Amino acid sequence: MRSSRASFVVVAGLLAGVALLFLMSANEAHSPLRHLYFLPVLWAAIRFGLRGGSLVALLAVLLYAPIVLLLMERGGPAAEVGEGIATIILLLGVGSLTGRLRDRAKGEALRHRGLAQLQRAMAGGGELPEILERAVTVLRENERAHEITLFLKFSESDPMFLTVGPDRSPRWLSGASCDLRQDSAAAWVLKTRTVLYISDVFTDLRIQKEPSWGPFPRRLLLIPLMVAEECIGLVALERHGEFGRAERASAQATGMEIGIGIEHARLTLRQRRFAEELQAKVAAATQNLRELDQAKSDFVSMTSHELRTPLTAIQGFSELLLAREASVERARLFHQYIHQEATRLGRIVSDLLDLSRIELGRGVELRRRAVDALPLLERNVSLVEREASGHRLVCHAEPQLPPVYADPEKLDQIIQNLLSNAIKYSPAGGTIRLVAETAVVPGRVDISISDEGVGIPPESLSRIFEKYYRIRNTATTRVRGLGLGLALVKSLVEAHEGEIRVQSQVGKGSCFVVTLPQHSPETTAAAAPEDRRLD
Amino acid sequence: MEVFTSTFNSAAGRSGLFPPESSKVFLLFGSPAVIGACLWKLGWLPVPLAQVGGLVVLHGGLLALALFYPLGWSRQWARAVLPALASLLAGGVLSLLGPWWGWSLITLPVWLGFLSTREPAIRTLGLRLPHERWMLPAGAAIGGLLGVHLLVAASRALGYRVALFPLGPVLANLSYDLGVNLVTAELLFRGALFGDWWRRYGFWPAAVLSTSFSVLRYLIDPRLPGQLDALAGASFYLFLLGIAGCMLVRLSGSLFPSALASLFFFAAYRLFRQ
Repeated sequence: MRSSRASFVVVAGLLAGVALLFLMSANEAHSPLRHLYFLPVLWAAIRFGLRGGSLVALLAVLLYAPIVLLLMERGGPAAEVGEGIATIILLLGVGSLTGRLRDRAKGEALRHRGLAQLQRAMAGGGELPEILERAVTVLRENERAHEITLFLKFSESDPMFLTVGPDRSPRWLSGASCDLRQDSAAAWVLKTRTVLYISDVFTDLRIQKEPSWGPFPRRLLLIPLMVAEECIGLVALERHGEFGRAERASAQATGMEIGIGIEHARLTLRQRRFAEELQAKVAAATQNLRELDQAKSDFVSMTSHELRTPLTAIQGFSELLLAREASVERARLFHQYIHQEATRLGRIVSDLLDLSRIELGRGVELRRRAVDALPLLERNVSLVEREASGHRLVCHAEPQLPPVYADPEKLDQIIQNLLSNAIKYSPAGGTIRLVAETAVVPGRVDISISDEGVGIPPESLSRIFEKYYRIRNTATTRVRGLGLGLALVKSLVEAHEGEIRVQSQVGKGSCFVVTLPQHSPETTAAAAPEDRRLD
Repeated sequence: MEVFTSTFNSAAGRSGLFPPESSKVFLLFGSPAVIGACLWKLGWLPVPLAQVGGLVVLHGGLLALALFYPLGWSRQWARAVLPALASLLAGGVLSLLGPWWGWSLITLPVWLGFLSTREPAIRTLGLRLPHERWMLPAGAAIGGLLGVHLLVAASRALGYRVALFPLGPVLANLSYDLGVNLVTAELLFRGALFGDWWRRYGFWPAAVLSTSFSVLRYLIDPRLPGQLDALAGASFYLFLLGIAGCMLVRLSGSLFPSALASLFFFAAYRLFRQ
């Protein structure tokens, strides 16, 4: 500001000096001193552009014209009068032309600087909205726009509207405030992919049905943002004042750059996000592999332990029977122990074989028929009653409950597994309820087994049916098992076209509900052939 | 922003320099002007009648065309124009009585001022105070500078005599400028034509075109000396004054700074004595 004032003072002084010199030394239009006028004119044009050059040229003409008029009035030589008029035209021409060239050069320099600023803004870090805010703010400054709106339609359902106004703070529009009319000027630009210039929003009949003049023209330039052949949105630039053809062409070129810049930024972000997701997936997979490795090791260790315990018992009692003579009662007791441990061993091996067959895709053969739920539950309760010291086992079945359509052996396996878990995970005893009742879904029966044990943490609920998965906490560390029981139960239930679900609260207990189909002639016919394979 | 929310009709638009239906105004005021000019040339029109008729038809026409821009061919336009014509007629007739009676022409700007309070659309021509008040003295300074330059240059180069007294003719001319000349010229050339073309074509085309029309209007003034040097000088100064007026309108959004520039320039011009 201060330098501009100083420049004007210098120009004025220079002009005054030249005028004085001119008037004092030679009062003739053809005096060579008149060329001195070109110095301040050129200087002002180079320093201030078209406005400065034209203004100083005009001042020079105002100072010089009376001398030419005087010459004309006196009837001086035509050549000198012509020379004077030519000087006037040259002064105006040189001032305006030099100023215009300077303005154009400066405009180009500013455009390049603006593009560099824009590239810097778009290359900076952050999420896409942040990048767009920076870019639009820079663009508004560079284009000297009153307001600028960026519309992007990466997704049809959720377009992005960003506006930066005179307060320079970016505003994201959403909801009804940014509804794009399908017959609006913006929609037309997106459809035709052509630049639209509206010389005055107040009076342009294409957009105003009842035009009325505002205090100044509101110029609008709508530039489609093209990436290859695709139109990804548009930029709407609003200016209060002049918006010349060259400036519009420049803005249009910048708009193209913005489109490409936005697409690059979007792709870079997508790539970064993809890399992050990939990294997370790799980390999760690595963690899973570690867990699997640990589970396999645990499985081998536990299987060895589980197999060795009954084997040791069988070995010990059989050695006792061989080594010494025992009374009939004592021998019978030893035989009973050997039989129990052999049964246990057989069950472990059977579980392992079933699971192995399921894993290998060989399936399990089902022999389904009508099974009454209550006798089944009572039989299983009597089998485990001896293990369940301190537990109260309650069996209940709804009167007139229809029979379940299932394989009795597999159903025994399901109930025994769930019952065994209920006993194992209720170290403090408590009541274990086995209830059979009609399910909410017609044609189905619910068999639920609930305990008052340690319960299952919420984060483990989704994983308890996975193979080898065991909940690790202090309350269950003493419980033996391979982590196969619930996986096997789930597979067997699903083979019966049933489902299993669980509800649990830590410290209060768990409830497993098995839903199976009722026995009816239809179910029998639908399941023919009678045997079904578990895959 | 309207471009997102308003209907857009790409086929709509306006062509031509003047608004649709403005030919009616040209016809309404152009025909009597041409007939009057013919009668005047033939010497069939008495001088007082020619003076009053010329005042009413020419300035009334300029004013009617200016008011046509915001009001269109409507009843409001007729209601605005007819009292203005009556005011011009009364003022013209009274001016014949003597130089001081010319001040009766001041009723025209008074009527327009009153009208602008009743018809807000007229204010869009620029009948409002400038955004920045310093534009008023700036306008006066520009007009004064050009006027003083004209006085110095014309008195030195062309030998025109400059005198303030007797004051009567100066005041009579000033009343004409203040009451009619500036009002109609500013409203039409700066308010309506420049305003419309500025919005449609940008500043420089609008400024050059509207100023050219305004220079043309002054050059056909029968009171201007017919010599070539006088016509060249008048064109030069009026062109500068017109461009400066357009710049003032653009910067201030008001006609008043431009009107002040013209007033000071014409005040200086009226000091010439033949």
